[in-house]
Amino acid sequence: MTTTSATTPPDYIEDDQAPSETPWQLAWRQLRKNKAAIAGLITLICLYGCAILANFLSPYRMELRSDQVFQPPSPIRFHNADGGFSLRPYTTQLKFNPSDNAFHEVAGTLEPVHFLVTGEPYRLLGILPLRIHLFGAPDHIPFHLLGTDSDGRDVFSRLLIGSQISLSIGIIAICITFSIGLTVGGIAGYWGGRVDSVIMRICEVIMSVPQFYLLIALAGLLPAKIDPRLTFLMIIIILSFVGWAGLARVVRGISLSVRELEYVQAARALGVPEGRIIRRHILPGAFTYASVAATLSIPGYILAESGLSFLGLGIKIPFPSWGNMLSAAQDLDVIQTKVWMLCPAAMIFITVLAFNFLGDGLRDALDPKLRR
Amino acid sequence: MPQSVTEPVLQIKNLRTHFFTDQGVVPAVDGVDLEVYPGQTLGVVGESGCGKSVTGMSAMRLVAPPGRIVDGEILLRGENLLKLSEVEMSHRRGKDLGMIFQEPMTSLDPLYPICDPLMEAVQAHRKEKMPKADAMAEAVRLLASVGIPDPERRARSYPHEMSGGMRQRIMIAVALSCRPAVLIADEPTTALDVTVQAQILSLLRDLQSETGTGILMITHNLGLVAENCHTVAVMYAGKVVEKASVQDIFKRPRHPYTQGLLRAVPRLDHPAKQPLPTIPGMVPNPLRLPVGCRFQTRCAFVTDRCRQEQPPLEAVGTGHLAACFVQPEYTASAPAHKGGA
Ligand SMILES: Nc1ncnc2c1ncn2[C@@H]1O[C@H](COP(=O)(O)OP(=O)(O)OP(=O)(O)O)[C@@H](O)[C@H]1O
Ligand SMILES: [Mg+2]
Repeated sequence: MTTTSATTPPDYIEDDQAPSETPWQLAWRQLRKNKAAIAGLITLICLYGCAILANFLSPYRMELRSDQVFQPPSPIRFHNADGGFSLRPYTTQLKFNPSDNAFHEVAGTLEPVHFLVTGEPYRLLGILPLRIHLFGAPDHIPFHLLGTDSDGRDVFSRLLIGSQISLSIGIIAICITFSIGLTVGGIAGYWGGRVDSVIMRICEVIMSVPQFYLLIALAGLLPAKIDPRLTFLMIIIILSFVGWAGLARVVRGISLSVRELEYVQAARALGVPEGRIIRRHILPGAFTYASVAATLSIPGYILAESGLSFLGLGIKIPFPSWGNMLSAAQDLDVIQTKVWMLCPAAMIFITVLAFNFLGDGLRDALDPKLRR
Repeated sequence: MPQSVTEPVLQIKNLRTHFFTDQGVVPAVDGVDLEVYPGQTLGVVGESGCGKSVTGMSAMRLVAPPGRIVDGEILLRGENLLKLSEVEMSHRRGKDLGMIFQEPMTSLDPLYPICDPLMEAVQAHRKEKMPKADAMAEAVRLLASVGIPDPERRARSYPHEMSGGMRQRIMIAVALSCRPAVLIADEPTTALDVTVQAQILSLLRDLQSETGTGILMITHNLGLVAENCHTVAVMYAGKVVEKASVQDIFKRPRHPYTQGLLRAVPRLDHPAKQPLPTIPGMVPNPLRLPVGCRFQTRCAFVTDRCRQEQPPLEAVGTGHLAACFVQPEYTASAPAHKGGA
């Protein structure tokens, strides 16, 4: 064959010398332009980073009780006892005064907060034995950054340890539902016909049962006194059992449409073996769209876990999760006078919002250029 | 004109492809005969929904459920493709039968650089594995052959960096990479603007004269047929209603539907103020096709016989077939319509 460009003028539009951009680079550039998505991404990185380093960041053991019940957040001062400015934060002791039913600073207890102090031993990520903590006040000064709860436990520490549970449940549950949904939905969409109808009817049955009712019913079956790790596992299994159907439907739709995409047809028309078409053309395409759906459904799992734990059906005290911490903030008195008890709600709110922002951004970044 | 000495490289005989939908059976292709000769182009024209694409996909055996080829033969150099196993058939695709689609913007997988489908094509039909560097060199050569400037660099670009015309060139390179005996082009230029369209068609003609590929060109565009095709088949509601050399179709159309299509083409010698004559009425619902001739509801020459019997596709001249009992003379102005109201 000879070159025909000599006879026909080339019909390309732009021919910049810039090195070509992969679709991933393009999507990343698109995502970076989306401020909300990037804010969500950074927030999530911080949240998950904190969850991983929770033991290091928390000054107290999460189950440690004290007689400082419902202590408000400890004051933080940037001056020393002489009143001079100091970069090192100082804190003072708070003491409950029954006569006016409030906490008051105890004069003359201004003490510096130290960083990287040696404290309670713990295992980072469950393996690395360490004693070092990010910060801590001298032992005789209770230092509660976000106050204490009804049993005098440090809310800040519990929030961090609780985040390990609340945040990982969403991720693990989505990994499980994602694999089930991708397989089942992929099979339904790809094979079509009767297989598709049967699978979709099963999904519809599962989805037509009110989700939270199903969750409560299943969680109610759990024995009251079991290993908290087992509870954690069971909750994940329950969440996945309820959640896979929705994702399977989404994936089915995706694979139905990807299957009929022209580039898949074009690959078939080239005689590319079907296994290779699925592996190289259908799955990667379906995967990008399904991962957007997955990102957007993680908040659902986080909320569901919180809901169960809030109702006392999930993670049980003394083990903290954002949901069961919130259940301490049920009555009006607590909400009005002990605002710090609402911190877990703020964390849930921030996390859910961050996932939604990121998911929306991912969808916008992946959609226009990857498909067209 | 097809020389009588050459055998058709692709022969479609009495092809029936039906869709078994929930509403009923749709006979999208219902007894179609077509022949593609080496080095020649057969144009398949007809209104939207008359079964052109389904015919093309049937020839590739790529009709997806609920569609199924229920009858007929697809002979590639005399071998019936419908008798092959799916694995054997997939070895024919790309190697003996190539296909290009209407939408160049979506025919390339956005996740891979454009050398990828080319390398996939050259590697797909080889017994022993081809070294990657060789496949890449071949891909670059193929890109050059379809007039892509700077092919070495372009081979590593991604589809989103290409214009529609460039992508269609790449699709042509992919489809012709194994020098298939037959190329099925389903509206290859419909999505492109007119100048690019002309370039793509001239590229196809050049490549055809080099490789001797027989082309089955599916199109709406009669102007394109006049310039690029040797023979033409006109389809209506799943059937071929007229088949002839391109000269006969344009000079002596015998079927009222072909005549209507020709009148609907804008012409320079046509009085500008007069509106273009269109074919009245609509394509019949494929689930409720009329007894007798399928064109009867829109035909100005309909007779009682047309309403009872299906006219067979019969010779009306040398190499000229038409399926019409009346076969009215072609007049440039539209006849008064008296068909079923
Ligand atoms: N998946 C399907 N399910 C049911 N019917 C179908 C399906 N695909 C095609 N058909 C039927 O086949 C008929 C022919 O479709 P086809 O795509 O071949 O038309 P076409 O001539 O290529 O039209 P166009 O010019 O718009 O591309 C349609 O009228 C439609 O009723
Ligand atoms: Mg079509």
